[in-house]
Amino acid sequence: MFARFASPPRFYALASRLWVWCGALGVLALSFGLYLGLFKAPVDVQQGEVYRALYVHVPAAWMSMFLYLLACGYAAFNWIYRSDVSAVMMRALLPTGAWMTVLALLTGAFWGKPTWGTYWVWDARMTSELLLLFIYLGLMALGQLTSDPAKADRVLSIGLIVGAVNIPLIYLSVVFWNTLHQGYSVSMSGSRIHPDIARGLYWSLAGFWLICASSVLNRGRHLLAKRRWD
Amino acid sequence: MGLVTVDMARVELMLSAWQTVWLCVGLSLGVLAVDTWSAARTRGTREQLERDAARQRRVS
Repeated sequence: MFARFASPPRFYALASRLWVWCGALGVLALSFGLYLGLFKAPVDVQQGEVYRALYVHVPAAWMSMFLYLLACGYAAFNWIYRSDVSAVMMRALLPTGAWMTVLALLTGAFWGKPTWGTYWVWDARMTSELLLLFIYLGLMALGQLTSDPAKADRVLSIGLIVGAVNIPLIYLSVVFWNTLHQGYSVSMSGSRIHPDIARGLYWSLAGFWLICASSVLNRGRHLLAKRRWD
Repeated sequence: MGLVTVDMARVELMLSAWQTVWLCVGLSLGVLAVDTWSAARTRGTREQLERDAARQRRVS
């Protein structure tokens, strides 16, 4: 099955169709999620209205980590199979992941001011998320270091896999250390968020996921076309 | 002329709850739009595309 989707012409055709659908469905899902979150969800008893920033902050933070793990998956495939599709996909994921990290940091800072009284503190969660942004930027630069694509792919794969150590660090930072950031509300064992609040969050997350997928597929197919023609 | 002092607490940006929420939502929509735009730009400039198309015609 992997070999089937690793075929560049097949991937190009599939991505050319999918990116439009993902984008359109993403806009619909995000709009619905924001509608539920901003206008239908009840007010939080402790934070008041400002908690509604979670409808964009949480999806952005989750996507920043998820896209990195996905890029690592493609890096591992590229290391083993050296396919063009895995090489372009790991490259295509990096800018979107970096943007999501920037968004998580900015929205977190704006949310932090009214709730914690400060835009920024050097606590474990925020510092490790900032480190993720530097890793993304470093990897994007690393991929451009050499004009030999095969060599650049190998270096990038190693860099991605080494940098993955930061992801569990971000996720578990609220468990390992006493941080200003709250502990996680959604885990494998279930969610501690009230269903009326969670509904909008999941739609918003689906919207973010689809819009990011649209960007990554669009970027990936263009990178693939360039690589095949060069 | 007396010495002008600035009270930094007043200068600091203070937003209401709904202003903060709308700022975060606006930022998110902006970032998603910029990422979508940058992905579309990966295609390259018109000159690059024409050069690539000419090269492809020569090959095929």
